[in-house]
Amino acid sequence: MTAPVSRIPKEARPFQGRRAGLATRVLAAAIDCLVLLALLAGGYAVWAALIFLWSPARFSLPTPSRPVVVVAGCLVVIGYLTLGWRIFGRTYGDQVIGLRVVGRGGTQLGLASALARATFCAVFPIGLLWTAVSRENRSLADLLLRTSVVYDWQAASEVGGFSAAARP
Amino acid sequence: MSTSVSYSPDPSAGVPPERDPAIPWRVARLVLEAAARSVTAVDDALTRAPARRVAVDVMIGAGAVANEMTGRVADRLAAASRRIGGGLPALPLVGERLSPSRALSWLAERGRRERAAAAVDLQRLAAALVPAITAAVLDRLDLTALVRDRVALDSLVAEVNLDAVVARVDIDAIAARIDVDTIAGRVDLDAIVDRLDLVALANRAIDGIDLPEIIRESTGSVTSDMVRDVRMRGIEADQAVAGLAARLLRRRPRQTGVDNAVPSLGTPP
Repeated sequence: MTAPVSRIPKEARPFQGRRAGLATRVLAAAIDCLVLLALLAGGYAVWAALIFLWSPARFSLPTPSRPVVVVAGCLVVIGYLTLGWRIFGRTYGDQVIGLRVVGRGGTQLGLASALARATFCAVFPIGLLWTAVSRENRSLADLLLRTSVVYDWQAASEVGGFSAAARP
Repeated sequence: MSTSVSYSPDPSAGVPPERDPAIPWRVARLVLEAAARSVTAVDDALTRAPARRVAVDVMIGAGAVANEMTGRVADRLAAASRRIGGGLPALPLVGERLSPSRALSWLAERGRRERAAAAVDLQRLAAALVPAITAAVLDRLDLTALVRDRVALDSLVAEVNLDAVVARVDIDAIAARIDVDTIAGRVDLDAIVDRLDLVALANRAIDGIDLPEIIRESTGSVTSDMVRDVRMRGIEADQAVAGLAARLLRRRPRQTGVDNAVPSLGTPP
């Protein structure tokens, strides 16, 4: 049988499966940051709403301490990245930009790998800049965990395509 | 017998009716005529000059006279005995008629007429024999095998100007006589379709017309176009950053997709 018809534009096909560079990864990370800010803001709003519903007379906006904010933010970031990479192979930012995070064999990350990579990225996000220095477009997290971020424009809902067809 | 001294080399001109000569003499003059014609043909072929036949005519004439003389000797002897018995006639006329030149002319004229008669006989004989002999020979020959063995058909065909032959053929008239519907009805389309790799054919057609692009244009939204544009610009930015880093780090610019390929993913589509 032949491969199904690819919806990837011709000009983008040569790049599919190659490791992505710094610009696209920063762009995806920026989108993810916006998503995380939205998540944190949403969580704060929900928290405030619950307080208001519990005691409307004594309601005031919660003012969490800095450590709480930092820990909560780290947890949200780690959870968001871990679930995205483990379940979908990509975060929302990766989906928009057309990237996918894969493991050593080009397969989707396991839970431990996804958790470790998400923790490293949350603690040391500056390691992403190593992508520009690396000949293989690898960040520090990629070097440590043997992962890669590749161009993959194929939507997860599409049957076949590069993600499924190109893997051994 | 005529005693005219005029001589014409054309044996077929003005042949007077003549008595039916004896069969042996007809055969003999036939042979002589055939021999004379053969000699003439060979002589013409070798010398390319018309041969004179006077000598042959003289020989045939002499033979004819000899033939007649044999039959008339008895009559002449009887007449001579009667003249001798009745007194000798005047002899001067006899000497004039038997002068050498006159005798030769007379013999030549006689020979010419004999040859003309022999030619008529020869033509009759040929008209009767040639068809029969030809039919008999053809019946005994396998002309097809003979042509196949003896004739270089390839050489002959190679010399044929087929373009000129084809140019004379009215192809439109031939095509008009062909019943295409009947021919098409006999074609086993299923067998032809079975021999075709329709899937490969369809893929080639899809590659040629860029079907994904058509689908994208027909179903895509402004958002997807924008996302595609952002993605392509991101890839271009990646390459620009990689080139800048290579210049800053003084290393050789890498080829696209060589160092940053994921080996386990294989070749991208």
